[in-house]
Amino acid sequence: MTTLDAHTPDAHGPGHDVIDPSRPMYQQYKHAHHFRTAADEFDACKTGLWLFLATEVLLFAGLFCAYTYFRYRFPAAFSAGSGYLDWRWGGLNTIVLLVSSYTAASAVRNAQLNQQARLKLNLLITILCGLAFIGIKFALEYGPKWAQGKRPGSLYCYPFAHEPNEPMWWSVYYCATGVHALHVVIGAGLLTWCLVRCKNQHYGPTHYTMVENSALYWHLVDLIWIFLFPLLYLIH
Amino acid sequence: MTTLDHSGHPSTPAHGGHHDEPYYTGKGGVWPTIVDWASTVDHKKLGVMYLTAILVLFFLGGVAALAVRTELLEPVTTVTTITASGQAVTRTEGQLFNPGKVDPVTGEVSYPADLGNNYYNRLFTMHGAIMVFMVIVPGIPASLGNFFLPLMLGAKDVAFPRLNLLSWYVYTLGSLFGVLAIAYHGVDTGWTFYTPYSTTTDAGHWRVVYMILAAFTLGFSSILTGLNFVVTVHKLRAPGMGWFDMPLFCWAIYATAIIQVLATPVIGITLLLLVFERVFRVGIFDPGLGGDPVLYQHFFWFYSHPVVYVMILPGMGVISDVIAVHSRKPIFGYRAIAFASLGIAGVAFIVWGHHMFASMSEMASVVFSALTFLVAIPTAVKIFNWIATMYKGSIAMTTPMIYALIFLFLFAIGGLTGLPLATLNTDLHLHDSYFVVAHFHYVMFGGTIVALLAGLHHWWPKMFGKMYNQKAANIGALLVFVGFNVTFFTQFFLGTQGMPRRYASYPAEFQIYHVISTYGSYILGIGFMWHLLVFIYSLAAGPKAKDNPWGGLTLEWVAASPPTEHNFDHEPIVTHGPYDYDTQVPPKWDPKDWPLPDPAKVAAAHRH
Amino acid sequence: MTFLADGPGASIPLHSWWYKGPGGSSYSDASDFAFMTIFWYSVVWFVALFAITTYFVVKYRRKEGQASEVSPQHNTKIELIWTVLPSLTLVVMFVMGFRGYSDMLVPKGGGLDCDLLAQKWSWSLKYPTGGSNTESLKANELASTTVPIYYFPEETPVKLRLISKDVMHALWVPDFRAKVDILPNRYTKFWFESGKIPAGAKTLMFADITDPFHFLDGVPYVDHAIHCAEYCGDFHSDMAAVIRIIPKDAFAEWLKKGDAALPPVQRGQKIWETNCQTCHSIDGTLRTGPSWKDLFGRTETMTDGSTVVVDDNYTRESIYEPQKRIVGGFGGVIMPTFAGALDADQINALIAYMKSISVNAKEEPDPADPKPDAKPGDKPGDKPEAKPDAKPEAKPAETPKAEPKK
Repeated sequence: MTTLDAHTPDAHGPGHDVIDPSRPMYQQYKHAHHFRTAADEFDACKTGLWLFLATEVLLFAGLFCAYTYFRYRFPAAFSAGSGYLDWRWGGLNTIVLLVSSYTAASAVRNAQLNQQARLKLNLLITILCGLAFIGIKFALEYGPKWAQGKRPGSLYCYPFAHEPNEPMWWSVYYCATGVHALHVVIGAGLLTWCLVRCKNQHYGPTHYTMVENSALYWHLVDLIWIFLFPLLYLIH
Repeated sequence: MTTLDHSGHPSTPAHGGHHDEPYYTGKGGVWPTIVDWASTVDHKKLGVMYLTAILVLFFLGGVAALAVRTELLEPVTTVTTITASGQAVTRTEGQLFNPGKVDPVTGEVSYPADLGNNYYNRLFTMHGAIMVFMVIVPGIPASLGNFFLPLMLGAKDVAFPRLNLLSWYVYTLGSLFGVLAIAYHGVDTGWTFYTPYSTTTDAGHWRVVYMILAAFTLGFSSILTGLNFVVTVHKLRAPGMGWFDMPLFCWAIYATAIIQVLATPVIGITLLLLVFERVFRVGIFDPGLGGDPVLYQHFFWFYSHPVVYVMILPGMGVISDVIAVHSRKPIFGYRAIAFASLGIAGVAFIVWGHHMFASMSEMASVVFSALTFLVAIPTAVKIFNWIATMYKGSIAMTTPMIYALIFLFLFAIGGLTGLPLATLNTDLHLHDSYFVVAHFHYVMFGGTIVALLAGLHHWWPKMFGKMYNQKAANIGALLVFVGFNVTFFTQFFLGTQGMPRRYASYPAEFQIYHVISTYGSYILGIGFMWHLLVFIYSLAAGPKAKDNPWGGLTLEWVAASPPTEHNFDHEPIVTHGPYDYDTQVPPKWDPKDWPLPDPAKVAAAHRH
Repeated sequence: MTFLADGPGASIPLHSWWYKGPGGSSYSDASDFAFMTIFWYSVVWFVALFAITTYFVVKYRRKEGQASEVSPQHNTKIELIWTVLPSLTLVVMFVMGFRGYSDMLVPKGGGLDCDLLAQKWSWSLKYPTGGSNTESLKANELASTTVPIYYFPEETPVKLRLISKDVMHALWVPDFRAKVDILPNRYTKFWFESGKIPAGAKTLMFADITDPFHFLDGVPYVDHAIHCAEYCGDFHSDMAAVIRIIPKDAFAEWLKKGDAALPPVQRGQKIWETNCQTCHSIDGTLRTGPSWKDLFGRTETMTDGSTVVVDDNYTRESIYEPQKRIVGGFGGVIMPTFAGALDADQINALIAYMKSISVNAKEEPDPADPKPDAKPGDKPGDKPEAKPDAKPEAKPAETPKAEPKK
């Protein structure tokens, strides 16, 4: 019978039959019964995730379109607006994400090579980097700016604006970075799930789909930031 | 069709018994059965649940439509009278519902027209939002697609069964948001949520936000289903089934799924920005804060145009299969239809501006008009191919075939009336008029819903193992056909003569058309109720269906009627095409009952 | 140029099934021509396809026990032909549309430039002289609202510059077959050139010789309806106006006189008809907003409990800043502002009108009234179609009143 819980003794997979404690979990993984082989299942899962990444790209494309359009309409406001952002915090966040992408990719490699301890370590570092990103963003960027009145749309109350359309800059800034931050949280959540599942050698050379997919998702989150950073912080 | 034991499969069917039972067999007791359905990852059960939900919501949207049409039986007139106390009060005639207003000083009750108009505006919004987001977009893919894609490919399930279940729950959550908005007296923005009206109307209430969140959530369900189907088609075809051996329904679902995956995120971000706009006044679409309402339209239609192809492509896939099977003929121009499906999916993304000719720059309008004519070409090609399929066929006027013919009739009218809408100068007259309303009902209702009916009648015996009374169903088809044309053909004339859409009232000279249209809608409603009764009777007391009543050659007819839990006892291996009627006896048919043509003639014909 | 009753578009068979009459602007017949040719083209295709289908369904109906005949499953030559040839016809359609569209967008030189303001739920036209409309029309006897009549000359290009005060609207003149969206953040444009008024057209009636518009008596005219074609809320269906085409010389004289010819009270009444009556009645009926009957000069209680006398200043404030002080019982209603839509002269005219229908108005000379000693209701030339309640009852302003409460 097909059910949700992958760990019931279920001959149809995906999941595990009765678990033999003397062998690592990843060796006892049974792929879902509607796939012919485990390789097929892995390929299908990766294809599925790439498709999902495409949807995420299109989601952010809408935000980039909004940015482009309003930059074209209000060049002075956008120029002034990016001047308020501190490129050093943005740069630090960029480095944090790049490092975390490296550790995420390493985690996948560790799983492929059955380096269980390093796998857990790399996952942990990636997650901590993600949290650091969020912390820097909220505590050191959003926080002070909000307090100064640099807020989106009708909440804007900064008295020393240079240009008349600066509130629009802030709206675009908060929407774009806010939606991105949400995706950082989602990615960190996926990686945390992987880390939790790492006990009992759940992932290994023959089964590491979740690690691969979570890392791919994380790379996309990083890639989006690589585009956001120059557009928001660096172009004047 | 030959099948082989699939060796090397790691599973051992140690839990016996249920391999021979229909997929819907209960689990011994009401509660266990409910839990089973609520936690199932079986694509067939999910397909049936989607079908039920879609039909219930279709009924709800239909009731809203009948209310809208009933309201339009009379134009609204306002009469002022003086009461005994000398107070003037207004009475409004021709409104379906007007709650009235009490004068705070005198206590007299008045019926100013805006109260009734407001109800009308909420009704047509409810109709549009339910029909588009909750019925037609999931429509055929979520119900028939879920049920039949794996079966047709020879698979045990879709690529990601648990994702499928998630998709179902996201759909129910989204629909719940929408119903919540409606329960709080609904929303009056129109299903298109144009700004600035949608960001300013109903200030202080949350129901607009609920409705927007409903659409957003339903979008997620659409993405997940689409993603699932794309991977299923790529990865789970049975051995021997190349891309050009798939049934055309699968091609249609595949093209649809690609559009779903690529287009839906754009409406996702649009709706999210709309919520931010309304709740935080971020100003992106608000001209008072530097924003642009036309930007909203571009974002909105970038998704909403491709989504109309999400609506029609699966319907076209159903029709391809139904015509081939009920004419017992290979589909004419299989590759042309397959590539036309992909072509429509591609062109779908570059024509969104034709919804905005009245508010775009001249240059943009010219470009979009030219591109829009492009999409007519693959569409017309399909119609020619379907008709050519019937040439020298063996055509039975079964209910599915009758509905396929109705589809051709109504969809042809819908498609042809798109031509004056693509033409720039005529569109400036017809945009936002009843002509557009008639056009899109012909393609969405006369196209997609009629195709859904064709598919339901074609696959009903397979899904439920019961046959329905075809003579009775044909009466339903006649009621639907007549009712539909009376309702909507009249509206073309309303449009060219000057009746705008979304009007609660109208100049008196249009009344006769509205009356005719409304009575047509009642006939249409009766037709659907009739079909419902025929189907209920079939489930309750219909005769047991054969495994392959129509003589289909595709893999779903190999499975039992209804299929068992794992679809096939052994993995099928495909050795012929999906419509090889010239050379194959269908599964479960005795060759004595299925005479084949002379092989020499077949070889001669295929040499062309 | 004549009304294109015999233009190529209007001459195509069954034109009268689709349109109420020939197109009214110079570019309209091309639109009718495009539509009617596409219509007949579609009819030919549709009939052909369904004749073939019916033939196949009958000729190739199933005969049990008989194998079907064999035929090829594809035919590249036929498929190419039926793909390419119809596509060429689409090019023809596109070109027709493109050329007609250019004509609709590019106005001829010269002519009249006007501004049209759209708002929920009324139209506000300004002529080059600064004047506005002088008359309104009821949809039928039972209608309680009227729509403005905008006079325009025949055979003259008229260019409208459009903008919205609030949400999106759209201007549609079905008789002209043209439409344009109206946006709140930028101007959009619309132009037309009416054909010559056909012989046998109806004529205007301004028989009263003292009527300032008596010169229009007997003048032929043609009316074209304007409808709002972008959903904008509760009274979207009622947001209409009328374009009334009259001969050039009659129009020239009308324009000179414009609504400046009207005395303030009547001018105010016209403004009320066009802009205010959807929400404010003048007979005591409760609508979205308070009735103006006996309103001016009355003391009202606001939503916050304070009291205010409805005087010139409060009236002006209510029109320009309606949310500032709201009469009790109407707290939930959002009245739109008319800042930018009504100028000071128009406000004065409205005030004069409100005074004329209120028993509470003090007797004060109206600063905008050129004849300060004339009494309201005394004006010559009340038009026959003016509504009965426009004539105030017993002259309230003549009665000395008790000192108004301050």
